[in-house]
Amino acid sequence: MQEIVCTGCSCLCDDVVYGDTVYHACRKGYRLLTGKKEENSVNGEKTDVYRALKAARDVIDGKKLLIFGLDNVTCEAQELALKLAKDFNAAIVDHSALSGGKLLELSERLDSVSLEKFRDEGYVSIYWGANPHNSIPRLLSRFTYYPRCGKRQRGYEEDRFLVVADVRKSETAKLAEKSKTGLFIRIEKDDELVDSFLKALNGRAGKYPEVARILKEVEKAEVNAVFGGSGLCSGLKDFDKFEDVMKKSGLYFIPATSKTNMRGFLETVAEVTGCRCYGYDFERGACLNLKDLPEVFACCEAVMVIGADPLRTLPHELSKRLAGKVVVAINSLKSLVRLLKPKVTIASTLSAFSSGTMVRLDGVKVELKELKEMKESEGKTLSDEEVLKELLSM
Amino acid sequence: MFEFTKLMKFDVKVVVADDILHEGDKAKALISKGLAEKFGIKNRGFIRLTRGESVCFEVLVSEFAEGVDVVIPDGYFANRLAGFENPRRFTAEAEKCDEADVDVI
Amino acid sequence: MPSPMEIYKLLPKTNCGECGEKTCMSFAFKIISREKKLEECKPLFSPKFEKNRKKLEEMLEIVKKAEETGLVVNEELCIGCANCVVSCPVHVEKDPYNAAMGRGIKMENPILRIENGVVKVVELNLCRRYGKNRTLCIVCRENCPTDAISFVEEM
Ligand code: SF4
Ligand code: SF4
Ligand code: SF4
Repeated sequence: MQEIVCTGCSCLCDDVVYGDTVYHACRKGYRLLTGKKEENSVNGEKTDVYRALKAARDVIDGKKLLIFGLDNVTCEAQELALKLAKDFNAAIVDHSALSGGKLLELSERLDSVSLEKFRDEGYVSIYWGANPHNSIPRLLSRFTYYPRCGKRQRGYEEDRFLVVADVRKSETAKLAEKSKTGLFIRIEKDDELVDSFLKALNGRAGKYPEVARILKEVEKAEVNAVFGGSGLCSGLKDFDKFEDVMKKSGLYFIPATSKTNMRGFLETVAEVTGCRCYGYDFERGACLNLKDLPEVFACCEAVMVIGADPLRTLPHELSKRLAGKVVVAINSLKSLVRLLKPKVTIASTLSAFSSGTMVRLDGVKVELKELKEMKESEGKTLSDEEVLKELLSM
Repeated sequence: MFEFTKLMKFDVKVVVADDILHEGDKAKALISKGLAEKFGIKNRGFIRLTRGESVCFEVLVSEFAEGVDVVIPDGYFANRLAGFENPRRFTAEAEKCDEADVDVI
Repeated sequence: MPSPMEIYKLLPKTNCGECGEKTCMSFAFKIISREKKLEECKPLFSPKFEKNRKKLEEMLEIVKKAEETGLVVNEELCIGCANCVVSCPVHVEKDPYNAAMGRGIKMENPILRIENGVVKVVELNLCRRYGKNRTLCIVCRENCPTDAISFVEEM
């Protein structure tokens, strides 16, 4: 048995005990940690990793390449993937343009706070278009609502105030609705809630009068935060106004994006290219945005999928453009990539079992803990980082 | 007996959400009580959602779909309907059907 | 909590009806809901089924304890969020530096622990609903939004 960091979502829980029984990981994490492992293959035939690597290198040489995925791999692997993209004049994107990217960009501009500080001092937490119960299952129990520590020793019923704003009554909303010290605001349009905040800050009532109560609670403590989720990301039209609310109310902002290391990817892209963007096309020397994706997907000749399952995570409008392309997949777990009939699949070690770093949703770097004793069933595989290193050195 | 509800079609509000318990090989969706009553549909009934493509879901009448009409777990089936510019919230046309789609094998 | 299927697999599966149920499967369901007791299945107490009976008795230990506290977990509805583990007042008291602070519970035999992605009942004797000085604690249930925890009968 060994303690590892779970890479099931952006909470990166570092207290998970992995052995014949897995302790403390939620269902999402457990599913990842015990998922069916991918195998090395070329043209659908099983092979060893070195033949697969050689075949992969042959495939990408001289082709217009798209590198996609990367939200589930370490920053070190992301950096190498960017180097590969640069060397091959390729385009490289993750999922951030589709969902989450805007939230991460916002968090760069707004005041933020670490989850540890929020655990010790946080009072009001507002989940806006976020349902962590399913997206980041242990967020409330590990950090934001249930823990008793620091200034918050008396327990959630007295020491925390839980707000959920969403278009539907989610699981987290149900908790807020039930709680004596919480409330659930069912919104129709996110911008109307922004407007209510702005009005309340000026002493007037907007469509959602509950906002005045929230602002009163906010005054009781120093540390209060909005956790913006994918609902906010897709629902909000006027991001400037939202920013205004955050600044005027003194609320911290924490992006509740669930994709494990999306934050790491955007930071790595920024470091390598000098641009804050959701992806980069090295051939054109241009940042990639949402509107560029259909063309990028359609125009490439070869696709390298790294740590992703595009058929599950991409709108079909985009993923169907991958049909007929030459595909190289570097994945730890079996996935629907097989439907794309990949020319090469390379089985890599799950990032939770590898060494390296990832960036948690609040921007804190987390060091992964390499699994010392790989069981037979885990097989001997290279990490994503090692696979990319090999590909670059060929 | 001929079922009139089989001919009914409605525009419904759909939300795509992470849903660990209901994602999987079979297409499942949560629907609000209101929509269930409109269709006269119960737990384990089926609806077809169409937005460009069509997907048939097994439904579960759930409090968690209150506020919208349908909640679809993020994943393969949701992505057949979701456009890339609005992957999380959209409207689709709903009608009754007889079975649920399953993952391509 | 064993499932009715797990119970059924260990029953004689002859549908003999001696327990008053039409099928062994419905007997299995009633064992879980505690409307029936193992002793009512006569064939199970013959030497032929001794091994199965012992296994069943072991499995049902937890159901017996639930009889005292009423606490039942439906793993199928649980996503392992650990709200229940962290909020349980007994855990807070006995594991102040781990469970109480949100980290994976470290006390030897907790009431509840997340194992293989879902909540498992480990030691129900510690639950405040148990024993002489029992209280009507409902903290774990109240903080489970998917109703994976329920109390079969209020005291
Ligand atoms: S909350 Fe996320 S990181 Fe933590 S155990 Fe669950 S899936 Fe893993
Ligand atoms: S009923 Fe109370 S004491 Fe018992 S397990 Fe639940 S929270 Fe803990
Ligand atoms: S029983 Fe409920 S509260 Fe406890 S871990 Fe499972 S889902 Fe969470």
